[in-house]
Amino acid sequence: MSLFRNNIAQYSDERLMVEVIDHHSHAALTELHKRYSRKLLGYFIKMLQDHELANDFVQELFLRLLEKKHLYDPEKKFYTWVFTIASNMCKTAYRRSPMQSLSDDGFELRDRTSVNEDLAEKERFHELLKHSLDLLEHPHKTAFVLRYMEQFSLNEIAEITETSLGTVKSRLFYATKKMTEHLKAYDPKYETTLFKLN
Amino acid sequence: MDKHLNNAEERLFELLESTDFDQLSKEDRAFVEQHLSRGDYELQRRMITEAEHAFPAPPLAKPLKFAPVRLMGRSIPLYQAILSVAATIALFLFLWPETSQPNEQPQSNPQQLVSADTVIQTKIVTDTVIRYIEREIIRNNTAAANPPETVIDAAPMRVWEAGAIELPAITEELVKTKGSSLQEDTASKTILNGIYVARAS
Repeated sequence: MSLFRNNIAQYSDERLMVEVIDHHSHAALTELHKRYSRKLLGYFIKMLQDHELANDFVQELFLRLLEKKHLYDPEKKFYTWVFTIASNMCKTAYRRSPMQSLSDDGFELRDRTSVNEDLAEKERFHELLKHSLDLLEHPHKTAFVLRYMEQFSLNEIAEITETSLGTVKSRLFYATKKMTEHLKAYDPKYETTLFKLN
Repeated sequence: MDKHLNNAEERLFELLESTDFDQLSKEDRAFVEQHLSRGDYELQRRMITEAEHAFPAPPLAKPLKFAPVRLMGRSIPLYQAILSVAATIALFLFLWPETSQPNEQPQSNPQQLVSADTVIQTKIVTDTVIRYIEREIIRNNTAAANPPETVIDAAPMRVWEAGAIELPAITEELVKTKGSSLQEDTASKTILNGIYVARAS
């Protein structure tokens, strides 16, 4: 056992998962937590925009991993499998959450104006981006976060969201388009200005 | 259901993901400008490139907490613990089947099975209260000074001293044979008269 503990850091994710399945190894699960908890926490924060809830989700995800270990397919990459679970957890949370009240154009103005006025232009843009992201439909939001914030490949996103490559591209294309519309509706400045990137 | 992209949209999507407007080839720029304004293209492009930095780096997640089940100082999975308990119970039932099935009815006399669906509860409510009151009786000083024997003996002595009754006469009357009637009892009348006389004197 101690030999296993010493070498555990060198094991692949999939090997660790096998240890979890075969021996219910807490040490292996702790190692996986060490590797992915921060990444998953970042994903949950982006999806839920609530730090405390995101932390609870990470904890719950790893406990669920232990309970549902028999569902793991060794042929599949652990990384994408764990994000599939995370994505499904967010989907469930999204269904249970109360519907957002949207204005006629599908855009809800929040009382952040006074705060945003004091932010630098780049920070302001990030705030608006997060705000627009929050207004997206869940599948579009998931695709956008996984692709442009978590840097997953299109194929990995298709695997995580259990959809086709074409659907992923479509979701990303329309997510970006809708976010641009939200942004322009929120601040007409973005309607006409030609930006200088960076 | 998400609509799949047509060829133009797919080409636009790939350009948006990969190339800034300023770096587009002449041909691509012309293509883009057929579908989007430069402002829209740059806004979408900026969104894609800056999305990664919109959120600050996440903090470290809270450490993982397990609820370990320990047996002989060693962690064992929960299902194994449950199985152990179940096996112990099964063994107990196997070894002591009679004690473990106390509600089993005897098969020889099935008519004794009674199904009671009504429970009668008798409740005694006491509504009579008996009070015992103890009072102290104070004896009269005069009565205490004269014992009862003295009081009883005083009356015949007074009759005797007054000389109201002649002893031979009353004795004769008392020994006469008479019936049970007291209507013509000469002895009683003589005694009563003697008492009245004694009192009067």
